[in-house]
Amino acid sequence: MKTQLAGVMLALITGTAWAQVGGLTNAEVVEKTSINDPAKAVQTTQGQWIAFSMPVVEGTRSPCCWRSQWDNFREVGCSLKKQHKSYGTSSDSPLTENVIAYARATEGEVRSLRVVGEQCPVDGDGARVTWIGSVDSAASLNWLEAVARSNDHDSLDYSALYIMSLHASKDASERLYSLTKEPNGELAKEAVFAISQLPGDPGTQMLLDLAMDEQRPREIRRQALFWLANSDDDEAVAALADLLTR
Amino acid sequence: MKMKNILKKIALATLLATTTVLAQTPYDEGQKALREKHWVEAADQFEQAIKTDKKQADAAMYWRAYAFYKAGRSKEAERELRRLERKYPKSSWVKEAQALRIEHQDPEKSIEQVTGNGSVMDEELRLFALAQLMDRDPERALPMVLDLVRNSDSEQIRQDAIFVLAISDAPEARKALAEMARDSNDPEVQINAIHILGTMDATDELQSLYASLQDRSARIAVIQALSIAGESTMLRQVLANETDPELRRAAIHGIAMEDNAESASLLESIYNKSSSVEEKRVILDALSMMDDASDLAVKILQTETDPELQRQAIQVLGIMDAIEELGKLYASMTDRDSRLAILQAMAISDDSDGLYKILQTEQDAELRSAAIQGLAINGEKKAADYLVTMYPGASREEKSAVIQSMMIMEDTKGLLSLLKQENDPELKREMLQMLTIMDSEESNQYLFEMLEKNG
Repeated sequence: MKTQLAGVMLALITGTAWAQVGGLTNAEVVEKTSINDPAKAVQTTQGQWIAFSMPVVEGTRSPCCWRSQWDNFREVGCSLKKQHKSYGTSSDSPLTENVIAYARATEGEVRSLRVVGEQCPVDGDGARVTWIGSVDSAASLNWLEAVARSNDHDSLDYSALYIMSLHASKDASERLYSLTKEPNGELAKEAVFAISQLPGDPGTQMLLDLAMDEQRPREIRRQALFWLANSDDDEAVAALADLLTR
Repeated sequence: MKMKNILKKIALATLLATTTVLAQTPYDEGQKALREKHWVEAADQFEQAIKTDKKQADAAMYWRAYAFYKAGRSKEAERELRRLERKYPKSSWVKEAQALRIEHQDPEKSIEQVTGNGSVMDEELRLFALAQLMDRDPERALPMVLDLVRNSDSEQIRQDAIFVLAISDAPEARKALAEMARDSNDPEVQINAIHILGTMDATDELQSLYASLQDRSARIAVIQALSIAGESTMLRQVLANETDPELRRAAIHGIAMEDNAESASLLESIYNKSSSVEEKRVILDALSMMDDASDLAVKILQTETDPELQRQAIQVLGIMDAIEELGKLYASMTDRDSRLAILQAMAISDDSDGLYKILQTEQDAELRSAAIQGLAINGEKKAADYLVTMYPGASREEKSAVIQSMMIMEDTKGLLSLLKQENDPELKREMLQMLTIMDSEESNQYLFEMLEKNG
């Protein structure tokens, strides 16, 4: 009883509290919902994980980690400790309205970035995770864009752009479109991929625009054509066929 | 036209003004927001309307674009209009969309760009896209790929388009390739298509194609394609029935590619029956493509009386690296020309050991010189050392051969060491000539030093 009271007192003094974070287990969760900007959160939690919730565009399926046994893929949940080889969504994945993003930074630079659906189990491996809850839409986009721009030689830029493609804000797709104009060819190409992940028409139309834009570098146009042809969306494929038929 | 558009705009504006105030659907909410000049809210409402009311989706797309233009977001407006044109090409709103776009267009943009009728992709990009599309929608992609094969001005594009057909699993692609192989007016396209049918193991198509073709190059291509496909029955028929030397040559090479005892036996039989020296040359040439035809080459050598063909058989043994056979032949063939040919063949097969062995026993000066030069072709350090070691005791003719060999091996150091020990002025001059030709750093340095010494 004495220990419990001490815990409550400590929580009140530090402004922190225990919270349930999506499917996260095996972690020491500290709640700091007063911070609504991931950029500020990572600065105050050097070397530790932060987590926040982000509303996603309608029709988003819950991303999670998978394990394959022969040709049978099974959702098993992710881990903060290791990167899973099989990650993503399937047509059977449940729809989700929010995703949980996890980030860890040291010396001001984001070193790890994960995003999963709310229902996706995540093994925290005993880590301390600071839960900042919902974040400001523009602040989260600013932060994701900054992460993408500053990590163009590892998978972080890809992760950041992918999370942007899930973002519910309409501004997200426009930002991705702007990133396709980046002089940094790799970042621009990855932005094209992220656009291909946007659900439905807006992504398809952006890819068509990129493919048709004669001012764009050839490689960007090829990327756009590639992702149109390889889209899971039959309408995107049909749109490409229409474009070529015209 | 302009007046008509203005009238339409007035009609649309009137429609907008009379929209019910009791707005309920997202579309109605969008119209309400337009009236109140809440452009971004209107765009959002129309986006909802597009999702929820398919019957009015085309109109909602139009009004969404209109709202974006009003909000100064012309890029998004144009994208929305293109979406309308793509999704509802037959909608009456498409014409309105064109008018709206013209109203807001950048004057510097051409009408072609605006209406979207211009060709926006060059053939290379187009083919890239079609290559991707062949997997997903071959029915639509195939005619466009064929159009590039038939009508592109670029040879590269035509050939690449054929390759796109080749890697497709679609039966229509295979059928199209067979048609092209039979009927194409472009000889390069036709031959490429035939070869690709070979890689696809399309033996039935190729066999029926051969009978229907008159053009020699195309028929040769079919023979080559059958060989690629591993189908030799037809090749045997060609050899049994055809008299055209070029067709027979292609079939002989095809049989050699089979590379087994049966094919060797067939080639031997054709060789023995043939009265054409040229065809015999073709067969000997074909033997060098086979892995284990050295016995046949030796057999032909032993029965052949034509010295030229004999020499070619020896050369083929060299290409085959038939070291053992060449060693035995050197011992058994006593005429100098054959032995010279064998020494060259040994050099081709990098048989340095065989050449050392011959140099130990051979007395004939010309043959010894040939063996020395044969060692040079190999270019091994060991060979260069051997030549430097043998040089002092060599005859004058052999010394000359060693000097040439050192030049061939580009062994400046070795040649300089020989130069320093040589007293014969003619041989020294020969060595200096070689050093000049070699043009290496060491040789140049030596030559400069010598020039300085001699003033």
